[in-house]
Amino acid sequence: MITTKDIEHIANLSRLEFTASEIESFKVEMNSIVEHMEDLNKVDTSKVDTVYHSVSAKEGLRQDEPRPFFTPQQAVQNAPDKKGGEFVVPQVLD
Amino acid sequence: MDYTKLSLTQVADLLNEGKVTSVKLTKQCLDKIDSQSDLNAFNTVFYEEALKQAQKVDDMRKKGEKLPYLAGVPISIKDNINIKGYTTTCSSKFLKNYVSPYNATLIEKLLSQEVVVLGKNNMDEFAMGSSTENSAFATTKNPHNKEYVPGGSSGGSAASVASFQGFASIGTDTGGSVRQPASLCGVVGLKPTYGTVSRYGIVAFASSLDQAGPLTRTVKDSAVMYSAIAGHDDKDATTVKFDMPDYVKNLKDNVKGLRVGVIKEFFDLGMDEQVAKNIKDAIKLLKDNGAHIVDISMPNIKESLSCYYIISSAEAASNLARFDGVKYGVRGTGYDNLVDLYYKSRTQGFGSEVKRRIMLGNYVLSSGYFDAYYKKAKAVQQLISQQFEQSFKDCDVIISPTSPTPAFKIGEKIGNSLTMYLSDIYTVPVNIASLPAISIPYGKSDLGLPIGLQFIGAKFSEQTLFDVANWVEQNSKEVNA
Repeated sequence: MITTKDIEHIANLSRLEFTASEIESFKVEMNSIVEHMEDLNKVDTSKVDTVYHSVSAKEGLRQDEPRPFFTPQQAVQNAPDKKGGEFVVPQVLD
Repeated sequence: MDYTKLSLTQVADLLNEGKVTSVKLTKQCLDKIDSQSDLNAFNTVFYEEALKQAQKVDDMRKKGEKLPYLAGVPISIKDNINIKGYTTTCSSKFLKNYVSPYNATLIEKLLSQEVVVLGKNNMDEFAMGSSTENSAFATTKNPHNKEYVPGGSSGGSAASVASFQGFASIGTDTGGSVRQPASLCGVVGLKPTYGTVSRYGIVAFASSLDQAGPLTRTVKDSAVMYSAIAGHDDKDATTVKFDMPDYVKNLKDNVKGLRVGVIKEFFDLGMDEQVAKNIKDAIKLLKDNGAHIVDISMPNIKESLSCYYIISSAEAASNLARFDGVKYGVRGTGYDNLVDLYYKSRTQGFGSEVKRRIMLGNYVLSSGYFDAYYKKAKAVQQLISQQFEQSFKDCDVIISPTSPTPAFKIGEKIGNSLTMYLSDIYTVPVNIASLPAISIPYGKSDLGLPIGLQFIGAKFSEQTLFDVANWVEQNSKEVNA
């Protein structure tokens, strides 16, 4: 059973804010989804690996050579706040 | 003449024979887009750029230059695939002004074929949804009946191809998002083998499940588009090197001896009566023409849905952590400090389904629950993949409906996420097992809504899928009339 406290904790992990009523409806919703997911517990997976690789072939690595990519200006072009080729954010360190 | 109703290969042939210009085709497609703008199939239409490219191709052809087969063919692209210089919004408020500084690899490939890109298709926000009702901008409507959904998340792509607003679209499929809208809109949708199409430049949802695939009006068109976008890419370490035959040239003209598997458990999973009747018809058609029908049991197939929602949400929560209001996208308002900036940007920028998946994802990954959910889901994934592998020893291809029901009404399922998730029951096992699958239109419901047939193959068996899908398409014209 997911509790209100659980939802609040996950919201913090997710960096999302919810109103009290949103938290409550999330709780109901997630409990019903999670209940559905409990059916996995009935599956016997004792004989399988938990590691699953979609792609089994190893294609090899490319040469460790630098390649042209974005200029700093291109890289920040979509930033909401930027200066030169850098992102601007609220002060982090005192 | 109205060229818009022709298939992609038909217009490519006409262009190559000099019988029509790309400008004419492009103008007709743009007119179709405009006259049907209420379908909301597009987020952005590239009016000027499309005509400019069409003119460029016509000029090259006039000069006698040798051009690629697809040169001058107008197509569209789902709005989570990056095209340099244009917006990639993922139908989210968060990215509504994001202008991409680079091309996805599949776009580079298509541009080198000199295609004409008509614009970016509407979708469920960040590819999360099965109805395109989660788009932050508008809900796309099903061209067969505008009160109904087109499916999702590539709903705009499917609707545009179904209503002749272009000759193909490239969508993405994580749990059925190419195949299910293709099914609901009556077009062909391919989800390729995982690793055969580069994900570089596609906004990631669930990295181990996402694959881009074409939506087209015929199977031959699908084969041509797949060939154009597939291939190993050193910018995407999850792609593989594999042999790509000439799929169209190799198309078989019969199904004699083809072993077609039917998963018996599928019939207990909410299949609508009309859908059940259709698939039984299709099975009979194949049997009457020499195919061998094989009963397959996949005892854990129904657990694919839970498996999918745990894995995809976990990966989505990780992938969407990059949307923090710092590097791109909208920055929230009313923040006090950096961490608060993250909270405000994400809360204000993301829609409710996206938030739901992020919450679910972080829940299953959080300490205390990781073993119970995520690790367990990975083990079940392994089991389901093994069961498919085992099945493909006894059959060449598996047949199933694509969706348990035809299209549902706009607003009908959006209030209940679990009901919405259940519409993916036949498509998600394919992504879970990294297999290829194709959906083709096969009949309509009593309300005139399309029903889709799905063929699932072993890894790298796209030729077999094209063979059987093409044969059924060519031999069931009355069903789709």
